[in-house]
This record gives sequence, C-alpha cells and structure tokens, in this order.
Amino acid sequence: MGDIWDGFDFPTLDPVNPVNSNMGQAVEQTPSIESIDAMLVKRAMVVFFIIDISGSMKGARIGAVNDAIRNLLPELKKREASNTNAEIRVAILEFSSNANWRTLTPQPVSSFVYDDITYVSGGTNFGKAFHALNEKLTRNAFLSAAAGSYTPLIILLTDGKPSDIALYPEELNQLKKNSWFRYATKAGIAIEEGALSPECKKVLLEFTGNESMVLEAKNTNILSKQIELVTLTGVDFVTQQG
Amino acid sequence: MPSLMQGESIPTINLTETVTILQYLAEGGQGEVYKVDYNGKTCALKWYKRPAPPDVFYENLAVNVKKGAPNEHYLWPLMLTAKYKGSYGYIMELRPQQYHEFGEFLLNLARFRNYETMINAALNIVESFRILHSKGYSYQDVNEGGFFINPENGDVLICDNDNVAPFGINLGVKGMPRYMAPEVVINMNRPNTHSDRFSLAILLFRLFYIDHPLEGKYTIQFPLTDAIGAQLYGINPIFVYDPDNDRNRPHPQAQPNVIKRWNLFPIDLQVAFTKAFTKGMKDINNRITETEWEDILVRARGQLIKIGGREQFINIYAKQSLPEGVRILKLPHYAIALSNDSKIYECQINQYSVDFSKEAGIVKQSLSNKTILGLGNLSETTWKVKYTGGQMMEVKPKGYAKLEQGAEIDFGSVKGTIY
Repeated sequence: MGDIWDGFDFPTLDPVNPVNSNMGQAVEQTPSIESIDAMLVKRAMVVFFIIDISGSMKGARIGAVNDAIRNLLPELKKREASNTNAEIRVAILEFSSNANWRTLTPQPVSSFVYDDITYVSGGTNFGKAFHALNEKLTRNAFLSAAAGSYTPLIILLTDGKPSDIALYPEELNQLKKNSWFRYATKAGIAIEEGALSPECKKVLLEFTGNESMVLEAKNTNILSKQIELVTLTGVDFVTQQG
Repeated sequence: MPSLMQGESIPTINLTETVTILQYLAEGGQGEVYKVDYNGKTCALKWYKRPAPPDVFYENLAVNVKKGAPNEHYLWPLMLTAKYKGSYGYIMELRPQQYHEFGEFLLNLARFRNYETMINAALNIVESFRILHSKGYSYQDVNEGGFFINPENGDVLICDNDNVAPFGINLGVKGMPRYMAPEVVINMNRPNTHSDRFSLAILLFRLFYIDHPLEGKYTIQFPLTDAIGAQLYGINPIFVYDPDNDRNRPHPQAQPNVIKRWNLFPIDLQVAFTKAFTKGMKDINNRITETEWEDILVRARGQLIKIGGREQFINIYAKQSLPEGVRILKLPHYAIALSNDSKIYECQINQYSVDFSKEAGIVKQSLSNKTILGLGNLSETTWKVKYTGGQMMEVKPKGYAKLEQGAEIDFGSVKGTIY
C-alpha cells in the first residue's frame, strides 16, 4: 500500500468484470466546455433617428447633427457591450420633400458605421417621414429581431415648420394607430429656429404626445448633449423593463 | 461628475475613523464606487447618489454592518460613513480582478475552466443563500449584477448587499426585470425569502443554459411594454420546457444555448428547473430550497467524470454500458460516477455533513494496471470494505479501497456498493 497521492499498486489477480457491458446504448460523448460558446441572443432595442435634411438644415445644423450622432455611438456601443438584456440597433430616416432610409434595416450598434449626412435640400414634409416610419414599425420590417424587440425609441430632429401642413396630420393619425408607435418612447428636438417656432413645436408635441419629451436645442452647441441625454436615458429606461 | 474628490475625508458613522477617497472607480444606477483608504487598508466605498436613500435604509445598513457577513462569499458592508454632503455610503472589500461579473459569462466574455468549476460556482452561490436565509435574512434584489465569479475555481463574491433585510422587511427594492418572482412583478408581494428562491432559480438556470427560462417562441413575438412584461413574467409566465405546455419552447434563433445544453447536463438539473418553473412558479411551497439545490448540484457533479482528461457526464439513471475505467458508487442517497481522479465529498458519505467542498475520497488508477481503480480515503474515518468473495478489509485514512464490482464500503454513517 503506497501513499494514495502517488497512486497505488494492487495485486492484479481478479480479472476486471465489465458487468455493465451488456446494457443498452453507449455513453454519448459530452462536448467539451470549450466547444459550447455562450451565444446570447438579446432582445433588440431599435433607436430611430428621424432627421430633417431640408434646406434650412444646411451648414452648421446638419454638421451638428452628424457630430452629435458620431459622439453618441461610442456611448451606445459601451452600453451594448455590457448589456445582457438588449441589443441596441440604429435606424436612420432622413426626410425633406421626401423620406429616405439611410439604414435598409436597423443596424447593430456594435458594428454600425455612420456616414455623415452631406446633401441637404428641399422642404420639410413631416408626412413623408411619418409614412415611411409607419411602414417599417412592424414585426415584418424593422422590428423583426429573432429574440423579439423592446419598444423602440424614436427621436425626431428638426429645425423647421411643416411644408405639408395640410397633409401631415393624416399621416400622423395613421402612424398613431400603429401599436409599436404608441408604445414607443418618442422624443422631439427642435433645433435653433425650430425652438422658436410654434409650428415646429406643435408638430413635435403631436408626435411625442408629451410636452416633456419635446426638447429645445436653441443653439447647436447643446444639440449633442440633448441627443445623448434623450438617447441614453431612453435606452436605459426601456432595457431595464421586463 | 463624481460627487467626491480625491483626498476628501469622510467620517465613519461613529465619527472615530475616517475614509479617504483615493480614486473614483465607477458609477452604477444607485451610486458611485470609489477606491478608498480605510484604516490604512485599501477598500471600496459605495456612495449613494443624492437624494440618498431614506433613514430606514441607513439604519438597516448599520445593523447589517454590526451583524457581519453571512459567509466569506459576501462583499459585505464593513463600515458605514456618517451622513456627509447630503448622502452616505458604506465600505466593503475591493473585488479582486480574477472575479468576473455574471453577465460576462452570459456574453461569452468570461468562460468557466470546466464543467466542474461551473457546478462549484452554482454550489457556492446556493450555499451563500442558504446561510443568509438561515439567519432570517433575504437578499431581495437577486440579479446577475450582484454576482462575481472566478472562472478558474468557481469561487463567488456577492455584492450589492444593501437591500438585505430581515424577513418581513423590505426597504423599497423590487428587483431587476427578468429576475423578479411573478408575485413581485405584479406587486402582489414585496421581495422576501420566497422570491429570492425564484430569482435564484433564474440565476442558476442562466449559469448553466445562458438563455432565460421564461423566454421562448411565445414571448418573443410581443413588444416588451410594461403591461406585456407583467403578463409574460408575472401573470402568465411559461417555462420553455414546461412538460404540459409547449407553447413557449426555446426558439432556435433566439434561445440557441438552452436548446444545445438542455440534454448536456444531468437530468437532475432538468427535473429541478422544471419543478422550479412549473409548480414552483407561483406556489412558494414548491420552490426549490437551497438545501435541495445543494443536493441536486452535488448529484450533478457526481455524474461528471474525466475520461482521458476529457470531461464526461455519465447518466447514472440510464441503462448503458459504462466506458472502461468507470465505476458507479451507489449510496442510499447518491450515485456517483467514478473514474481516475474523481472525488467524493464529505456530504456524500457523511449523512450529518453538508460540506460539498471537503474532499473525502479520491479515485486513483493502480500503477501497474490502469484498469484497476482504488478509492483513496481522505477522511478521518476508517472505512470497512466487504468484497464479493466475503473478505473484509479496513481502509484507514490515507489508505485505499479497491473499487471492485460488488464491493460494499461502509463509510461510517452510510454504506455504499460499487457497480
């Protein structure tokens, strides 16, 4: 009898008797722990930016919007990286006389690359934006993530009064029938002149349905802070739901 | 902006000592964390954001500081500061770097060294809750953010202990979404020991299977609003593997981990989680207690062996041929698969022990013939072995028993048979 730590040596008189060998199926091999990566699929939280690119946004204003979104992305990425609840995705709609999705589908923020908006021209047709948004706010379009979706965050950025004052209310009515829109967190930011324009703020109030969600960026210096505040608060709030 | 400056000194509650801010570390939902000097020791200070939580919260913390940590796994409040600049905080040990946030394991940023470590981590969490609950306290805010695990050895550190309170007392916390018990989600009850047990089951489920036990094909189709959340996690939650309701089975794209892992781990875990999330979902009397979990996890660990250095679960309940070099030790309460280097633990062979980490025996191959296994006695008790031929043998501490088919081993308080 040796020390057990060194192993030991038995007399080998008895043949090993495999009593179990006549039973059932073989043991299924356990996959090694290295081979089973955790692949957490998170509920998606889509952050929509609806950006006014009408003529009046030309120059510093669109520059400030570009800069604000660019500054926001690393913050969103950081949140995404440590968040076990939500995969943050970004969808960007630009609108002037027409509306155009810059993201064909919502892009995971972790790999999202932002291209500056450079072309700015046309009127401020909110109706076009609302229509385009309504089309995509469905499980068959932008809210089709495999693990389901949180209620989206929709941020409307504009500096102008509506060019389609007779038309946008009907599109907004349609949009309000969309339950994803109803449950969404909605914010509006009136930029510079927009902050001084009652018509502009009226649209934003109708859009958000909540006065406290209509923010003013009276100068472009504070736009970046406003966008960051609204987005991060919105994301944190929603992704802690459950 | 951190609310405290480097070099700032804050008196402790009894005003006899001070805490000096060394460095701002991080910010959480409720407060900030600083590296501080406390009596020459480097510690962490959790500092509440203003408005500071109410006086009852402060008083409860003071009581907890006096009471001391339930066991070594808690990063417990060591000292409370006096009220200062409209707020206050408490001091705790700094978390060593080798401990990773629970969420990192879910995100594949941290990985367990092996299955054994994973099960040991679960055991450490469960033991810490058993001890906390046995003192009449509940944790109340069980969620992945409060748990740190060393992936190399399964050691666990539990922080955010500021909501710990005696049974019947709740300081206002509801808990974190996806970890709250149904009765807490729908505001029928405040968190307590029973809701802790529900949340613990979620935490353990995710430790093994990553995905959430109540999220499957049914739940993913809804936008997660407050009302829908209350429905899915409170009023009518459906376990993904509810045997009587297949509506919410895991979705291959959304919950791939649990699909892959459900049959990988021992059936004891399947049975326990199924009970926890069906009968135990709403009936607190059917929730799995910590003692039960310890038993279940010890059984699961007892089905894990190594074959050629590779980890292998042996289904001790299945009729199947055992691989060469594998034996089963059947005890009245446990069946343990044994191969070279397998361990048995004190709680398995001593009916009066709950010690799942103290090794009581280890399996070694014979030096001259590797097909022959012996069970080394690491306990302080002399074992008695009876072989099929009738011969008896005593196995003293540090001695070994040959693992021969049919041998009966008397460990003192329990007897086992080798298969």
